[in-house]
Amino acid sequence: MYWQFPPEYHPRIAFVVEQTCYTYSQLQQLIEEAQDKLPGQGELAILLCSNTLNTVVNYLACLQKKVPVMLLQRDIDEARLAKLATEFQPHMLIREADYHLTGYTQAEIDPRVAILLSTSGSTGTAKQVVLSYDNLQANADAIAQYLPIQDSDITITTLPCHYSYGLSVINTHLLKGACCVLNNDSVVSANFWTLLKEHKISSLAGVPYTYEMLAKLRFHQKEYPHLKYLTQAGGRMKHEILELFADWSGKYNKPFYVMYGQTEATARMAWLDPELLRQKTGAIGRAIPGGQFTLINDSGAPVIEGEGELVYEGPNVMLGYASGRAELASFAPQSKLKTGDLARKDGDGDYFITGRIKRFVKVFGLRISLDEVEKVLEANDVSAKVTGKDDLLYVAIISGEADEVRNFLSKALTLHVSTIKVMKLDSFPVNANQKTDYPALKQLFEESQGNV
Amino acid sequence: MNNQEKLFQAFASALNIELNQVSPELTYNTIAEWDSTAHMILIAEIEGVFDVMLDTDDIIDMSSVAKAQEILTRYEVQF
Repeated sequence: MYWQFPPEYHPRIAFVVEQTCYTYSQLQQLIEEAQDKLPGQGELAILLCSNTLNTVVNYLACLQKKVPVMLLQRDIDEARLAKLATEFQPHMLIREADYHLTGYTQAEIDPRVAILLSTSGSTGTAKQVVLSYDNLQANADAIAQYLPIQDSDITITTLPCHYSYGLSVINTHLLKGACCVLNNDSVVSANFWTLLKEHKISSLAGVPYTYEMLAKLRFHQKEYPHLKYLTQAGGRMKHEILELFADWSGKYNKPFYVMYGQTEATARMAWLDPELLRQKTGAIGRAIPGGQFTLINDSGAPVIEGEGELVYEGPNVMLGYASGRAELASFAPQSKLKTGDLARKDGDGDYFITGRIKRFVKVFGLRISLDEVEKVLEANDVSAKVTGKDDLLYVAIISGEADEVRNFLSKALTLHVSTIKVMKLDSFPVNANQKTDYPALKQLFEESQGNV
Repeated sequence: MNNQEKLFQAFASALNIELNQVSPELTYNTIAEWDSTAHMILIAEIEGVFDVMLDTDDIIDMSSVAKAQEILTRYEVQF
């Protein structure tokens, strides 16, 4: 298990924080000290995460001691935290070196439950993805089989560790006995670049928005001799940005791994062989080792030719969802995960995502459920219909002030105002079945570009 | 509008704050509105307003309004 370190790892450096290096044996020492402060085996904890030593020590201590733990962002909105605490009744709330007993008494939790992760942005839902110890280990193993992670590698955290992709970077480096520099700064901050040079970082992970920022910084115009490879997941990259990095990859002979996944599959489901990046730009490639894809139609029957919903099967498919404490008691995991994405397969067996069934958009890397945005507004007495596309949320209202709604959503979802368009309508467009006609709504926004 | 007014206006619109909140001392990450996302929007805004193409190091270094002014001076923007 990646959270237990074999003796040969002990002298190696596991984490670098500021100017201090922590070996695997020092890390184990810290984990054991933390374990004494944790609740007992099988008692739920909430861990507020940022990329700090305390966070990784507490996370690993929970895994070693079998304390199920919900990972949330350190700067989570207090109201949202309170709501989650009410729903899940954790035994303990851990914030850095503060171990706070909540007073909730324990209730039965399925012994397979290892971690709970949120699926989408801060839209207020309590729904959590529940992952098992086997899920975590299986996904780390599979990723380490296709990524060239060496024990001498040093990576840097570019993503939050409460996010499945960010967490998978840490997990796989621990698995291989490699090193992570713990960083919370964005790639646009000077400190990040200092760390990159100083520690001779060998790989970077990013969501499409990370690569957009790197492109803006003209990252692709230089070599960076210590970098060995780059990885990308968390949504589809804009074609022109992908081209820039494909060029960079080809020019300097450094693989660029385009990957595909969801928190519901622990993190990773597919990867594209970097050799095929030029030839199959935009593809997600094949299922990771141990996984398998199929395509199904509306009635669930297999699709042999053409487009269908992408279904994944593998040992990293979650135990299930939970919205509260009672739902953690037992799980009947499904072996198959319907991804909500539409895809097709080419003659070589590589997959391409062609569309989306579930109503969500990615705004600067954050997954936003459109239905949940509607619920958030409704909870604040604003009747709204929400659609959008990547990096843009379209919000139609029939009462209230557009500017107010826009500012409210910007705060509630922690999104930049420029990513939210609000339009006031006389009525919402409906289709023949009297249901909201979202394509028509989207059309209205696209046609009024610039006037909103 | 002179160039300083243009710069302040660029900050106000990119960060979505009131013009009177913009001062030379305003610094990256000290207000919620100026985060990494807003920083990239700000860079695009400044590049558009002053018709310049900033270097990587200058984008990273642009950590305050005063610093932005100093950097832009090197791109032959007169203040």
